[in-house]
Amino acid sequence: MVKVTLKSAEGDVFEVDEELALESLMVKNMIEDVGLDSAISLPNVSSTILAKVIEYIKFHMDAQKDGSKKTSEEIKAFDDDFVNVGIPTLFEMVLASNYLNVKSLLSLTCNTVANMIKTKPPAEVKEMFTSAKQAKA
Amino acid sequence: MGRFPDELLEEIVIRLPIQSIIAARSVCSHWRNKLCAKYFQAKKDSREPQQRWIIMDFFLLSEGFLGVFDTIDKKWLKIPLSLPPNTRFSLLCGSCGYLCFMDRQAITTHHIHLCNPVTQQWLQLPLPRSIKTSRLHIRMYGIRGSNHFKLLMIDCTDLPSRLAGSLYDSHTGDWKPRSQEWITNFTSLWDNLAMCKDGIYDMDKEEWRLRGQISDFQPTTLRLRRDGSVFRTKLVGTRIRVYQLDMESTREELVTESPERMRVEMPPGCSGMIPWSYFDGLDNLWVVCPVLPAIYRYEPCSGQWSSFDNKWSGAADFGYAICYQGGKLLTTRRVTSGEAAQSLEKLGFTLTFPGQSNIKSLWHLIQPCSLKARTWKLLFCPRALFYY
Repeated sequence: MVKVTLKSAEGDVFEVDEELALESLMVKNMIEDVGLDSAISLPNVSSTILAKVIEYIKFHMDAQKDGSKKTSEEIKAFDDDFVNVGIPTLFEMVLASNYLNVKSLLSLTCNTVANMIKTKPPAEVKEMFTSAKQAKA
Repeated sequence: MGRFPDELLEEIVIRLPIQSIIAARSVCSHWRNKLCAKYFQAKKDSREPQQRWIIMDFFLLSEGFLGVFDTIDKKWLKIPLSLPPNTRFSLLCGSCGYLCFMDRQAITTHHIHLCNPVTQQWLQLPLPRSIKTSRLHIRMYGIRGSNHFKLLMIDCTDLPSRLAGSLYDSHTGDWKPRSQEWITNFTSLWDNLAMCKDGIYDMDKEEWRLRGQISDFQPTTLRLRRDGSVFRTKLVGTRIRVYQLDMESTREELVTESPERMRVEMPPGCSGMIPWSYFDGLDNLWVVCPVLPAIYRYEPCSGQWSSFDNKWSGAADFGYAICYQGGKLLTTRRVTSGEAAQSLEKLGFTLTFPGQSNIKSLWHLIQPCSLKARTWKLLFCPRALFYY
């Protein structure tokens, strides 16, 4: 199995299967452009978030494989648990999935944020977005 | 709040229902600019072009809300609507996000009232001339993917000698008079297509799409699909039958019939009532009738029929008794489930309508659908409109 080396913003190195890395259209394009020899640098994604993204892609790839015994309930439970994180982390994941161009994760995280907005009055929505900004700063 | 990229903000907000998008406009000025932008609205529209509501205005005057059945979420919503004081607004038609009302209080009317029920904005639109309220008919045609609409006004003042009509175009803001032939018996249809007994007319291009005689022309039973095919919905026994009309041969062909397990039962006295049908953006056919216990949907792609509860969510403690006589609506009243166990007289159902003999048939009418089982079924009004 061909391996791809991904390098997070902190410089941590993640070695993943090529198949997994190609799920990110951004990484796919990078591989096509520069090849597999050098590590792919992802300066916009922190180690924590990159690890989460890899975990997500891995789970869904396994779930889609033939012979996978995962039920749609189990997949949903994984997704629910996956996005059950603090707002700053959730926002980081939205940004990362957009940057890495992982459509399914972008959709999952955006839907999660949308559901949070839906039940909140505008002042709290503002608070939510402001706090996420400060956490980053 | 500038850190979050606009494209991602859009990506999130576009997933919200319209009501939440409107609310989100007041988050900050940046969001307001973004979410009010025409291109964003168009993007939202194109994302969910099939979002359609079945609207019931039955509780508008007594309770101040519109009953809305969302055909995507399959849920009932209550949309509160504040009306000007001392008015008796009734819903005439709706399209492209607007609802069109008329004040039935006035004997003659000079205006119609347009409302966006989500933003609660009202617009008063003058008519080309004053018309007796009872003589005015309006149809509305929203133009997809834009805020523009056309209104067709039919003025029956001089009937039977003459029928007058005008067409309003929101582009120009003008009413244009139309010939008698043009407006005869137009009935509400898909977007820009209008049907009358002489054929099908394209409101956008202002030209005939199809000329031909429609046999047994009854506007309420006929429905036009997006592609211009005409369908008729009938209630035969306990089943809904859908026929397609061949305009050339004027023959009707049975397309589908609701399955036996899905019994469509009309309370006694309502047998003459015609179910209303609508096509949504996916060409599914929705069948609604005020006294049916459910809303029915036919999906042509799978050939499946499904039914949805004709009930408000979260309103288990009270219901509405709606009284019909020979298919005509008489009155409505809100009743609690406790009251439902009591007799009709004790409920204070003293109704004012001509002829005391009606009371008896009314009693029969209400009893089977509500009082007998000690549970109060929710019944809905005939004026259901598709709105999107």
